[in-house]
Amino acid sequence: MDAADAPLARHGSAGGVLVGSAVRHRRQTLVVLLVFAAALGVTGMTAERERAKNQAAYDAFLQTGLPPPAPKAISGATLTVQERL
Amino acid sequence: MIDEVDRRGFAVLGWLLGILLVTGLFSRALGLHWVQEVEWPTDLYALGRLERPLPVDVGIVGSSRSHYGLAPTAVDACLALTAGRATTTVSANRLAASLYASDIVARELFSGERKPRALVVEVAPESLNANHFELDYNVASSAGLGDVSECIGAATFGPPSLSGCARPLFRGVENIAFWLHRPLTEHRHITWMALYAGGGQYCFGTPACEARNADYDLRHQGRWKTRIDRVLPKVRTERFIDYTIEGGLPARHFVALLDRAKAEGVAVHVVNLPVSEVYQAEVPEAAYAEFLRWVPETTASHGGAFLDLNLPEWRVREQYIDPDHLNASGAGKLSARVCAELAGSVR
Repeated sequence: MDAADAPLARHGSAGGVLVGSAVRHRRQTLVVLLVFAAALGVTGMTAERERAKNQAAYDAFLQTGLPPPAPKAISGATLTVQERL
Repeated sequence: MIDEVDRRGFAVLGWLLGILLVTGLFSRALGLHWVQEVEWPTDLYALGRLERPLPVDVGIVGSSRSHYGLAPTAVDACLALTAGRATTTVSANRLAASLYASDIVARELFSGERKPRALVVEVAPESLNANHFELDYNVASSAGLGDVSECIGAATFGPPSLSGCARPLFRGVENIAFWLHRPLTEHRHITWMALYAGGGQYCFGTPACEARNADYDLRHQGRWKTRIDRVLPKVRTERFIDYTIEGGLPARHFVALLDRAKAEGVAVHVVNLPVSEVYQAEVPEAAYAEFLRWVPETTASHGGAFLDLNLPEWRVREQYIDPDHLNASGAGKLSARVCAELAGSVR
């Protein structure tokens, strides 16, 4: 027996192995796809939320002409980054 | 002979490839391809997804030099006087951008339905070097799927590297990881600048802006010396190694930018931004001569206007935060100078 077949053999006869294995793989694929879709969904929602927040802030700025107070323009990480160029 | 185990292996690889590609397309559809490990200097995500009631009047593309040196609020304050109305200037810059990255930013943010009346394009001798020291990063940060084949073609003769060219195929996963990791470096500040000041490092016209500018320059007082110690010794060997312009990806994209703008009726102003005396001394004379020969000629023959501001009167130490980036005072003056050049293009 080829070493690569060893995990399959643990599940019984050749036909049973293939059927059981195929079902297991379909389940695994489904789980991976569900996790993947969930990750994309969370990303999409956070991106859309930020876009909407930015747009609302910008629209308010156009109405009033007044920006909110500016955050500090410095951080330690930025100094490190800015050494690059 | 392909057996069941092989087939499973291929299936896993196929699924992985599919997931990476779908993630990339999804990320691009959401504008998240702009999200990088370093968002500085411009929050391109915020800029890219913002819907404006009126078209942008002036778009600015370039590297950190245009980020520091050209302040959209100063350009607008000046343009409003000549145009007789409020104008909108937006600056979209990439870290270590060559003309390759600048063209892609311009193509995606300042063309088609989003075309401005005028486009200011920062050029510098190193930004057109076919062997640009950050060309791989330029591809990684900016290239889209459609740019991969061109990149691979170029990689067979020289930079970028082939592995760099593959990055846009799989970048979606890293874009999303960086997105979920937010806030990244100085995110809130650069978003604020993107939304309320058109981007750039400095803003003018309000007490909040003036205070920010002063605070920033004060906190970066040590930057001049630090970069003289760390950057200047590497300028010749890193940024001007094997200097050549023609045939390189940056030059090709520079021409593409000019041609696209001309076809769309956008006035292009190509500006050679100033650097300090100490930085200019590190630029090899032969490379600078080639740059000054090629850029004005190419710009004119493709319908653009060239403005050389890297002149001795702009190189005084007091105007710089470090050897090749202007401070708030320098940015205010340079923005007014560029505005004078734009007046004919923005009515």
